[in-house]
Amino acid sequence: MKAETLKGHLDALVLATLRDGPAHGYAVIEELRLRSEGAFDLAEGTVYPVLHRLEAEGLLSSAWSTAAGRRRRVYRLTRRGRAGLATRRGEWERFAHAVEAVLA
Amino acid sequence: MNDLRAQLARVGIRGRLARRIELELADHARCDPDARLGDARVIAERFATELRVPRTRRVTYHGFVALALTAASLVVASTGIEHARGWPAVGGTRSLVASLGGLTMALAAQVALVAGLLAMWRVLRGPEGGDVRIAQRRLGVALAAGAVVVAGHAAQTAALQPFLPSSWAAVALPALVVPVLALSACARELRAAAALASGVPPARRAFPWSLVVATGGGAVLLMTVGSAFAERSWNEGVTRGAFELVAFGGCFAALGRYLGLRY
Repeated sequence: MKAETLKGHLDALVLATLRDGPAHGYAVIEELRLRSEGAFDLAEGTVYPVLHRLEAEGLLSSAWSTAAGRRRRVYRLTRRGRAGLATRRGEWERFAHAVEAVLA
Repeated sequence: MNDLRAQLARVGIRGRLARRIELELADHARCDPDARLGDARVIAERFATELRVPRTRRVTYHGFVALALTAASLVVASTGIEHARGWPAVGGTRSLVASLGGLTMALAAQVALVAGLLAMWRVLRGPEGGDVRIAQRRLGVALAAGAVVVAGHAAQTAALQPFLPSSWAAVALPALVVPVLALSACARELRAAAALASGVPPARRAFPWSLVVATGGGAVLLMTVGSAFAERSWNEGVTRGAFELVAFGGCFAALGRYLGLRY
């Protein structure tokens, strides 16, 4: 599925991958791929700019960490990010319910 | 990665942020050698597109804080004069410099307030695309007007300082330095945010004329009535109101198009 198709929902998806704990960019992309069973196989060049924007908006925070001698930028949800995720999930549920009602 | 660095620089991403992006993508490529990082030009443009709105929003908030600090510094310095020996009676060139400084501050403070509010208005309404350029222009004018206020204050301070106690200088100097530092920091931040949007044409949205007329009319009325009561003279009130009208009209004519108020 292309990033264009996900436009408007990508923020929620990225925030949701960080709900259970901090992760670096590669892990976020892998988690998206795994949870969607391969449907959301996004290009890396799409996800990193979104991570930076979400951080600039205060929904994520990030810090360098070192693992096996490698420096990695690890992202985590902020309190505002958790609230933002809850809001987006609610919006999605209303939208999905409405679409389902029309298509049924 | 060299190409990515060049492309990031092209869209205005430099320094620590550019280095961080390079490190993150290099680490990603090590984790997944088959990663589809894509064209460096496209990646750089995506970063600029994603970051220009939050960066503009942040610098607008910071700009408001810097302008508020400037206003607070002026109040502190003015209050300090009144608590010292009151406004000194100076003559000659010093009187002219102090008066021109005061006039400059009165005019520039209004420009800073209006341009700052316009920037905030655009930012709070969720800017898209070219709106960001308009918000940045408005904030740039607000910060420049804030700097003019500080310059007017500096001229007035220099003219009055010999006639005031040294304790006042201890208040007046920080009252000049603090806003200069705050405004300079915001100007640097704004330059970085503007670089992210340099390739975006400014939006062309019509600003409601009714709002322009209401704002101008309100400012003139406030100046007229406020001055009349403060000076206990309707002549003074009308004179200052007329001056406000000319200043508002002049600023609108000079800056209206640049600030996205008319086309």
